Amino acid sequence: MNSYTPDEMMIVCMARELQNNDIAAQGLTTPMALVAYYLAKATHAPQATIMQLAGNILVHIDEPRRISILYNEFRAMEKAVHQGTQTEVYETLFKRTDSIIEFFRPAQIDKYGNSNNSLIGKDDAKIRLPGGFGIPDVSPLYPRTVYYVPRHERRVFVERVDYLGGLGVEAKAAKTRRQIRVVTNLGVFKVDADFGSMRVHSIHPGVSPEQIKENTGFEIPIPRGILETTPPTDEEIGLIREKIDPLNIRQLEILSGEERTKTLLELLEKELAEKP
Amino acid sequence: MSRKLVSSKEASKIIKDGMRVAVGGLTIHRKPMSLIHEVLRSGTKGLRVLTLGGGPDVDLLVAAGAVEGVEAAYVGFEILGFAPNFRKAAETGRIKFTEHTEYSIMAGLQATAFEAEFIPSKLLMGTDILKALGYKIFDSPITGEPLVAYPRIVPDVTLIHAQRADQYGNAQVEGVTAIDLLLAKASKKVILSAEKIVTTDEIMKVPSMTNLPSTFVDAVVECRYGAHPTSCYPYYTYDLWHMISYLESAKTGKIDEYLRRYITGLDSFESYLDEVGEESRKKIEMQR
Repeated sequence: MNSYTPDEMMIVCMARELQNNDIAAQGLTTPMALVAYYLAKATHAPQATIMQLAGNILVHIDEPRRISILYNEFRAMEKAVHQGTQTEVYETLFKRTDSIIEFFRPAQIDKYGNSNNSLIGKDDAKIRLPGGFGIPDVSPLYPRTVYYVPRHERRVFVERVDYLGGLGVEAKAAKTRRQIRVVTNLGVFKVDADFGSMRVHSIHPGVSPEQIKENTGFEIPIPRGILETTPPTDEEIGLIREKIDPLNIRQLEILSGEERTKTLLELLEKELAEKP
Repeated sequence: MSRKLVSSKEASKIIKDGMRVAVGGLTIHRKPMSLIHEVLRSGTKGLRVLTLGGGPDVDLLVAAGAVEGVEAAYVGFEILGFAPNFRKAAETGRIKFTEHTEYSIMAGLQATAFEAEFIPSKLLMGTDILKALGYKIFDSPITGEPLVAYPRIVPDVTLIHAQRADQYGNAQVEGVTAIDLLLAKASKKVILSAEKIVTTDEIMKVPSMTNLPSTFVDAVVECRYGAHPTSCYPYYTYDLWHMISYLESAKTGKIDEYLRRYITGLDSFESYLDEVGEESRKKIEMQR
């Protein structure tokens, strides 16, 4: 077995959420989500349709694609079968609600699966985030909502979100059959209406239950004998590293601050050298 | 069809203090930056800016003090992170930020475009975003279920950058089309800048590509690299290097210097492109 990084473990878990006849919707620049879609297409979900915001288009992909920062829109357009608008993207989401899969990255997610990308903090000392964009609109409609959190920590996993954007399972508007998944660097978590609050679905190899408890800002039940996440296969790792993201653009979702800017500039130079 | 080709300075006279100005494109894609620069040079104040996803357009307008309010579903630089001037102004209350979602913007514009007073829908019910929008909830006359009334959104002027257009404003928009066509339909006036002004014969070759017809357009301006530093498929990708240095200038308190050097201290967008330099443009150029 190959060694693998936490982001690769996450990408594989995300890809496994995609089913063969799904329509995968990609929102704003989210490299890990795009790698996961392409990986699923190249493995167990070859029939999946990909709808990319970059171009408001449907793309037809019959071989593993490479992701890009600099040429994201251009690479998508190369494979476009249809040029639409964002209104039409929404019309597709409404018509095909049951087969849509979309990976959302929340700034906060709580015990009940509510998410927040709007405001952090109460009263005066608030941090204004870029915004929820489409998450509050569509997430409660989907029977399956998948969130991903590259850094599982207490400030993300909170008892109650500071501001209610994407609704969890307790809300009346939510469909009762809804399943919310949260893929993190520590494990895969689930929220459904039956149980009402977040539970562990599986723990990644090498992660302890204590680590999860320490980094989660609410009580989370971890039954004995909980499932261990199936590690990535050699094929999956090979596809990620060699075909889909050989420059390791995905690491941008893990890094922060100065280190992230430095890595970003290096990646841009590499991409520039390969200008199509 | 009447000819609408004017200079960007002439076109910007349509925009008056306090107007609700909608901006096309999305985040770091196909923003009408040359028109934004013209607004900044004209010294217009108190604008209320509306856009689906804001990026350098919103951040610059806020930095220059041209804006009183912002309405958007997202404001940021995507992979580059926060929009620093917007964020600071929203946090300190210097501007009024109205957080929308994609749906609340599209529904409001759809209502206007289709001559409805509002669009009734269940979406967003129960969220703090809807609470802050303050939209009315009423019982459906059909099912009795509670519904949100998404009221009309009517921009005074919409700014759009298209890939190509003729002198009448028959335009072709490609790549991230976002909600530009809907904005144009709902807006009282539309100023269009185009990367290339082409002949009407050229437009007639593939009429199905004309997704923004002249009937929705009031003024047309030609501007190459008119979306810089955002992208304009298929001609150039976004200038992330320029945006990184912009963000750096905001972080180090040098935003006024940036504004003078690149916008307010210059006489035209062409001078801005000279200041950016040919080498930088070469880097992002994809197709002439």
